[in-house]
Amino acid sequence: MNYSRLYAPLMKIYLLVFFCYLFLPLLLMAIAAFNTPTIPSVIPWQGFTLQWFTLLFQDRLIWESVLNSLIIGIGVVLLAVPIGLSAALLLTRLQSRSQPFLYAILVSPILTPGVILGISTLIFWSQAGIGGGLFLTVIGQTTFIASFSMLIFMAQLQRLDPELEEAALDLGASHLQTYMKVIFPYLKPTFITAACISFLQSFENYNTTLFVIGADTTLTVKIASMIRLGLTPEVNALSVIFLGVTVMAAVIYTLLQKQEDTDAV
Amino acid sequence: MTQWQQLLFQNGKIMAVFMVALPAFWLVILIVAPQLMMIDFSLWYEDNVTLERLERDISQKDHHLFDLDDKIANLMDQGLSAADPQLVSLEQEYQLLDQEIKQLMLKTDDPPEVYSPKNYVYLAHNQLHRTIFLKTIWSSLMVTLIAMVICYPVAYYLAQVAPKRQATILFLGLIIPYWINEILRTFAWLMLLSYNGFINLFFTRAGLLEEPIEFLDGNTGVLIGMTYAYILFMVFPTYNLLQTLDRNQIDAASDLGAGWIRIHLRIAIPHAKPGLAVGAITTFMLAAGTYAVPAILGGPHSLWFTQIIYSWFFDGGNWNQGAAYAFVLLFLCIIFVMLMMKIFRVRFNDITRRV
Amino acid sequence: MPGQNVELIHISHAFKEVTAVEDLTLTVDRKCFFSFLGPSGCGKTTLLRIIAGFIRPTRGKVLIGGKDMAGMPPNLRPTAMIFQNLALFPLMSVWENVAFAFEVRGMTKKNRRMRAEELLDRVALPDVADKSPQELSGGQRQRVAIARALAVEPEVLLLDEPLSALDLKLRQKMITELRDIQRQTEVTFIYITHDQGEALAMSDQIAVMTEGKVQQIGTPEEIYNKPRTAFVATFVGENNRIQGRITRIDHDRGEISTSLGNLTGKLGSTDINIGEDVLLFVRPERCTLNSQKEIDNSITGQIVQLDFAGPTRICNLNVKGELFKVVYPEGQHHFKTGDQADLSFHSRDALILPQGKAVHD
Repeated sequence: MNYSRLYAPLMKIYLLVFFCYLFLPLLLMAIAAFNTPTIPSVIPWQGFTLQWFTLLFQDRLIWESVLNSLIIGIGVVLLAVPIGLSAALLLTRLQSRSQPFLYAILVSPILTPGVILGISTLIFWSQAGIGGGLFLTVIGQTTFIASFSMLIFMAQLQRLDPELEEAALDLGASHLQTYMKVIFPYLKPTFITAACISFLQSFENYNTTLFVIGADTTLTVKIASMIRLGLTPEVNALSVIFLGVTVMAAVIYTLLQKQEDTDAV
Repeated sequence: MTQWQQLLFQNGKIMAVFMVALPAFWLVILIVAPQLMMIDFSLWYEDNVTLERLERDISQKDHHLFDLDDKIANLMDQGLSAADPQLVSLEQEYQLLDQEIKQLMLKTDDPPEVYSPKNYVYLAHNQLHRTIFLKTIWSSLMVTLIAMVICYPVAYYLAQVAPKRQATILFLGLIIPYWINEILRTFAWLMLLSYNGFINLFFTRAGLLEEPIEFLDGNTGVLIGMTYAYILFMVFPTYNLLQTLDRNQIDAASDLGAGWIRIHLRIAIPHAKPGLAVGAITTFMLAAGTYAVPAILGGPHSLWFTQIIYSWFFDGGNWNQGAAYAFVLLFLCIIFVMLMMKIFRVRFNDITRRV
Repeated sequence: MPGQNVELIHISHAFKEVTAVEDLTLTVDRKCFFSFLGPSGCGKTTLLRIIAGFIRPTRGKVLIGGKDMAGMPPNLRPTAMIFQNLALFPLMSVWENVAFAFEVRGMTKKNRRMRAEELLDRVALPDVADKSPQELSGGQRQRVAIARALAVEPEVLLLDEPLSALDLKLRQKMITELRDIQRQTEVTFIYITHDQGEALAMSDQIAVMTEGKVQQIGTPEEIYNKPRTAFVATFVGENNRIQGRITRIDHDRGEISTSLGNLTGKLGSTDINIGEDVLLFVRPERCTLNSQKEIDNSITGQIVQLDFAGPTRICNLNVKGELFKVVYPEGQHHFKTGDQADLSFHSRDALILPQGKAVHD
C-alpha cells in the first residue's frame, strides 16, 4: 500500500514532534525544581538542590490547602456518586416522553463553562446567606461532577441484562434485596470508577472553585495564586510530585486496561 | 399507570424514592434554580441615582431638623413655657420630620431594584468589553480549529494504524499530560514563554535571537497556552470514534481505488463526526470559559472575558453586571453547541455519550 | 389433586397503542405441561410476564390456585420463571445461584448450601456447585436455571423459550429432560415457544396464539390433525392449501370447486355453508403419487423440484399454477424433474376450513 511508503515516515516525524510538544514543557518544569535560583529556571544551571522540596514540605499554608482539597473531594464524592447513581437509574428506567429532555438538562452542566456554574452557585446561595467556602465549593463542584458520575453509571446500567433483576424478583427477593444482592454487586467496579473520577475532578478543579471558595483555598487555587504572586521553585517541586503520582496512576490504569482486554479474549 | 406508579411497581418504595428525590434535588437546587437566579440577577440593577437623591433628601431634612432643634432650644432659653402654642407646633413639626427621616432611612437600607436590560446594554456600549468578548469568541474558535487539525492525524494513527503495543505506549503518553493539573500545564508554558524564559534564553544564548521576544504581552502566549491546555480534550473523543471504525471499510475503499485523501474525507472523517463534534464543543467551552490560562499567561493588554466577569464579582462588586456578562458567555456556548450539532449533523445524545 | 391451577380471565394488554393480548380467557390444569405456541410478536411473552407479575394487564384477572393475583408482586407469587437467556447471576457461584431463594428468606448458610446441593442432584448436576455459571456448558446452565427456579417450590414454572439458544442436538436432549423433570416434580409447566416441534413433543396441552388471541387449545394430536382455523393449519406442520367455493355438504363431508376441479374433504368447522369461499388443506405426507388404488381426489401435475431429506424425499408439483408439496419414503419412486405425476389424497385426510389469516399471507 502506498501509505506505508510515502506517509509512514512523515507520520513518524509528526508523532515525534507532537509528543515532544506534549512532554518538553512538563519536563522543563520538573527539572527547574532542582535548580538553585529563586526564580524557576533551567538556564542558567546554578547547581542541584533539594531545598525547594524541603521548603514545600514546611509550608503550612500548602498543607492547609491540601487538607481543604481532600475535604472538598470527599464531600463531592459523597454527593456526586449517589446523585449520579440515582439519576442514572431514573433515566434508564423512566419510560416517559420527557426522558430525553430530562437527560439533556442533567448533562448540561458538563457543557457549561465552569465559571458560570461557580457564579450561579454563588448568587443562589448568597440569597440564603451562605457565602463562599468549603461547603459552597462542594455544592458548586457537585453540580457538574454528578453529571460525569451519572454518565459512568448509565453506561454500565445499559449493559445490565434486565432479566437478572426480574429473575431475582421472581425468586422471591424484595425490590431492595434485588438491588442489594444483584444490581449493586454488579455495579461495584463502577462505584469505584465513579468515586475516583469524581475525586480527581474535584481535586483539579479551578474555574468553578475560584468563584465559590471564598476566603479559603484549595491546592489548585493555592498553586495558581503562588504562580501569580510570589513564584518560587516550590511550585516546580510540587509539579514534580504531581507528575510522579500521575505517571504512576497512568501506568497502573494502562496495565489494568490491558489485563481487562486479555481477560475478555 | 402514572410514571410514579410505574417506578414504584418496578423498583419498590425505597428505591423509587431514592431515584426521584436525589435527582430532583440535583436538578432543582443545583442546576436549574441557580441558573434562573443568575438570569434574574442579570435583569435588574440597584438604582443608585434614586438612592443618591434619597440620601441628599435625608441630609437636607437632617439640617432642617437641627434648625428646628436650635429654634426650640432658643425659645426655651427665652423662658417660653412648654405649653406655649408656638412651642407646641414647633415640637409637632419636629416629631413629624423625625418620623419622615426614619422612614427614608429605611428605604436606603433596601435600595430599589429596577428591572431593565441595562446590564446587557452596558456591554453592548462598552467598546473595550465588546472587543474583548469578540476576541474571546475568535480566539476560542482558533484554538478549537488548531486543536482539531493537530489532533486528527494523531487520533487516526493511534486508532487505526499503530500496532497494539505501540498504541498502548502512545496512549499512556496522552493520558499523562491529560491528567496533569490545568494550572501546572499552563505554568509549564509560562516558564517557556516569559521574557527571561527558556525559549528566549535558549535562542539569545545560541545567537539566533538578538532581543528576547515579548510572548506574554499580547494574546500569543494565551493562545499557545490554551491550545496546549485543551488539545487533549480533542484527541480522546476523536480517538474513541475512530477506534470503532471497521478496518475493512478502509480496505474496501482502498480496494475500490480510493486514494488516501479520499478515504479520510469520505470514510474516516464522516465516521468520526460525533467525536469531532464533542472535541470541538469541549475545547471551545473550556477555551471561552477559562480563567486560569489568561490569568497566568496573559499580560495587562490581553484581558479575557472571564477576567472581566471575575472583576465584576470580586473587584467591582456589581454582581448584576457580572451575572449579565456570565449569561452572555453561557449563551455563546449554547449557540456553539447548536452550531456544532448542525455542522456535524449529530444529535444531542450522540454528543453526550462521548463526553 | 387434579383441577384448575392457572386461570386467565378476560386478559387484555396494550403497550401504548399496540394491543399485545386481547380478551384472553383459558385455564391450565394442575400438573399439566401447557405450551403457548405462536410466531414472535403474537403476545405469548407478554402473557407469560403477566402471569409472572412483571406486567400488570390493562384488563382482566389472573388466578393461581384459585387466588386472585391482582396487585401481587412477582416475588410473592407461587410462580418461578426460566428466562430466555436463563439470567443466571454472573457474580455468584452455581450453588449461590440455586440458593438465592433461600438466601432472601434468611436461611443460614449451612442449610442453604445443603438444600442447593439436593436440588443440583435432582437435575443431575453434582460437582459443579462451586463453579461459576460462565464455566458451564449450555445444557448444564439450563439445568442450573431449572434447579434455581425449583428452589422456590413453585406451583407453576414459567418457561420463556429457554431452548432457543441451544443447538439442535442439545435441544432434542433437553426436550426429553424437561418432560421428565415435569413428570417427576409434578409442577405445572407453562412453556412458550415459536417452535412447533418443541411444543408438539413436550406438551399435554397446546394453545396456538396469533395477534394476541388464542386460535385453538388442544392436545398435540388435536392441534396437528384437527386444526380449527387456517392459521393453525398452516402454522403447525406443513400443509398444502387450495382455495375454493363450497358446492355440496353431506354430513361431515363437503365438496368444493377449485381452479383444479372439484375436490372433497372433511368439514373442519360447523359454520360452513354452501356458496362460501373456503380453504382446503392436505398434509404433504397424506398425498400419494401415481397411486394404483382408487382415491377420491386426484389431479395431475408436473414435478418442478425434488429435495433429498434423508429417509424421505420432498417433491414439489406444479398443478395448473398451484404449488403442491408431497413427501414420500425415499426409494418409493424414481422421478426426475419435469416428469408428469398423478397426485391423489383421500377426502378423510383433507380438511375444509373457513377462510382466515394464514401464515405467509
